[in-house]
Amino acid sequence: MHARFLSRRMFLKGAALSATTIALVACATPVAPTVSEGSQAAPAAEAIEIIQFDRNVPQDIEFRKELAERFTEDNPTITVKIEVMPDDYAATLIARIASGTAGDCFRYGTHYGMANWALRGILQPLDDFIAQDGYDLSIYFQGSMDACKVEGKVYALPVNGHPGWSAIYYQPELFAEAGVPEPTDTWTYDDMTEAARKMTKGTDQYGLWVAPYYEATLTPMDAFGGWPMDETGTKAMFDDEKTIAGIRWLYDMMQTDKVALANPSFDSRVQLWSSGKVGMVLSGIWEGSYLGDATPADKTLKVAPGPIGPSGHRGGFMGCNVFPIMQTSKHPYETWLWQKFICSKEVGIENVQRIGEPGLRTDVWEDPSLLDDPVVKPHYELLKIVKPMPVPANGRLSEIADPVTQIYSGIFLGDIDVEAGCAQIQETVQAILDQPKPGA
Amino acid sequence: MTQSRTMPLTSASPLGGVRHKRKLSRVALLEEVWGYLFIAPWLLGFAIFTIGPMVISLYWSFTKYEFPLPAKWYGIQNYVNAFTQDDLFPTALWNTIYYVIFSVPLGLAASLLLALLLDRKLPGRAVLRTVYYIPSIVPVVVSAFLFSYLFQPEYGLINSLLKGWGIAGPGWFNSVTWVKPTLILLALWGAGGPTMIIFLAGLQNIPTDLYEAAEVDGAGRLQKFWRITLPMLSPTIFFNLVTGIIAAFKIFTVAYVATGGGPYYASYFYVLHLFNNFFKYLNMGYASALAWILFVIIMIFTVIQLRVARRWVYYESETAGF
Repeated sequence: MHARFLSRRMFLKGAALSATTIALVACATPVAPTVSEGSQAAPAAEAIEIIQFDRNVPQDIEFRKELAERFTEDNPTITVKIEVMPDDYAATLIARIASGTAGDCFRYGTHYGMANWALRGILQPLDDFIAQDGYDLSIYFQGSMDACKVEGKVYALPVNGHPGWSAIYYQPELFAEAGVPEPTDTWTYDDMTEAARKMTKGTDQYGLWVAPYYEATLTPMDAFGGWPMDETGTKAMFDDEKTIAGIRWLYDMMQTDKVALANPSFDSRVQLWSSGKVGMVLSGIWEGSYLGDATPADKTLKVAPGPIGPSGHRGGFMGCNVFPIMQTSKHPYETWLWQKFICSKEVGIENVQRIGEPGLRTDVWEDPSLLDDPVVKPHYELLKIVKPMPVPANGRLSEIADPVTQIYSGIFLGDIDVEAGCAQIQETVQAILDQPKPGA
Repeated sequence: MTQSRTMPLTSASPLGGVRHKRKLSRVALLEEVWGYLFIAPWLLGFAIFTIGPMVISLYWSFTKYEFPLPAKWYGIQNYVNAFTQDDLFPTALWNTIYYVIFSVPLGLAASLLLALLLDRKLPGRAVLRTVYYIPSIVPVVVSAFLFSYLFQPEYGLINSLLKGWGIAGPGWFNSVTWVKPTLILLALWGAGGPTMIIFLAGLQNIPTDLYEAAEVDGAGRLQKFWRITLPMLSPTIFFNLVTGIIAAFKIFTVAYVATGGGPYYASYFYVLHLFNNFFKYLNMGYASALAWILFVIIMIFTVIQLRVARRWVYYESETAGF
């Protein structure tokens, strides 16, 4: 046995030192993202490629790729590459941002927490591009533009979207079977509750499906005159009796009247719908695709506007799908041109047939093809009046949505009563709203 | 093996403890270099993908790092906040400890039982071993989705069957009371996996003459199990116990996919809390502190087990004469 050139102890010391050195170099403060110089000039004369990250939804990807080809036909020097992100979208995006391979823009939602990313300097404000091109923002629904602003700056254009979980998708055959008149424009929450009671047959058939998630509960909350936080985004309002009333209505559907599944999973609505076991689903514009595809052969899908609440209006919120531009984009102006293209009226109308969510321009919704579409039309009036998704002033939306949804599940399963649950939510949400903005 | 042509190594020389620096022969030196070259890929990967991130996360745990804003030095405040400010920290920790306490012993018992059954001389034993192993190689995400449909309270297969027998099934994943037991049940789905294989190997290493001698002395089946099988298998049990506890503390995927940590935080496990802080809330400094706290907790559990193991783990080589 010969002696070692390098003892085990020396080797381990060397390896630990090397690894620590590598790690500390990697710990170096990241360079703050900077806006590319010359971004406000005309589009580059040389050929460039814009990379857009998109979520893994086949219809969306197929449509976006076609749009990319059409965009390049109009702008021969600019190619748009659509990169599909796997399901854990946010985590992958964060990893790509950290590694500097985040592309130029990405599909996101104002109701997903875009404000949080804007406040952290990840996104590029568009005000300079808007001013440079004289772009008219008044063509969009006011609520949608408000949703795209953070601290007064515009961070995205509202590509398409919806007024929340705000329409009644129903199977008229089940209504006929139960001898219940179909929903109308003047239905109230009491009318819907009564219809649900008549169509419910124990656990064999439910009259109604309602979602227990934070953003879905905004619909009844708004209809009852409540809202989760004040306009400044600094004060929680779960102690407001109207907010509590909206949550209580959901509780009653699930526990008191038992006309809806208690704390249902998102997929359960499709399961029940496809087996003809639910009369109504209170949901959003995307259901034209999902429930439309799952409608049994002997049933039909019809849509009615959501019911009118005690506040005198239907509930909802403005949820915008957006494609914000990364602060680190090397071609921000060209990416802005792409944004304008996908926000055009023609594309906005085409969105309906291709992906089920129309553009958020007023001229899109006033097009006869949309106004005559029975699946889309019920959402139109609501789009004119809904408020944006309430976003905290410090941008910490997901830190609020998660605990609220957790406590809701306790309420809707009957493990905690409505008042105690709302008190817990109030305390939790206010504590989050009291936190400073990121970086402060 | 090549022989060195230099003097024999003496760390304690008979001349008074003088160390002599040895010169290696060229051949020996080449062997050293080739050895390190062959393990270099693994070493590099280990340094870059394991040690490196550990060191980085240790640094981050002492900073206020709200991605992607620059990390600011924060001292031990993240650790203090975990124990004093974070209302979900005790919930997440308790849920995880609950899961560890119940899933590990049950999992070990199930794996041992399967190993005992599959150690018998049965026709088609090899096929049976394969069949029992397959669930453990099904991706956890797939199992979680599958079980979330099976255990759906209103229209899932399990409750539909129970309903047919006049039994009202529980809420399973949709019940504060039942969600953790359901997750523990789901963990048993993989009982026929690597743990069972290790137990099988351990069983096959038990000398058969011990059983023969016991039979001669009139020992029954249960006595043979308690007096021979378990003691001889104790090192294997200990190994599976330690690795099982470490794995159970890291439970994440099934809760992330099937329950989201609910309902009402009932399945909100520690690593899920860490994940949310890191990837959703972008509080990476705090999440890093949570990771190191978990590391320390697991280390403490492991050290306790090592100490306690001296009382019940029997190593054949420790007997007199060996």
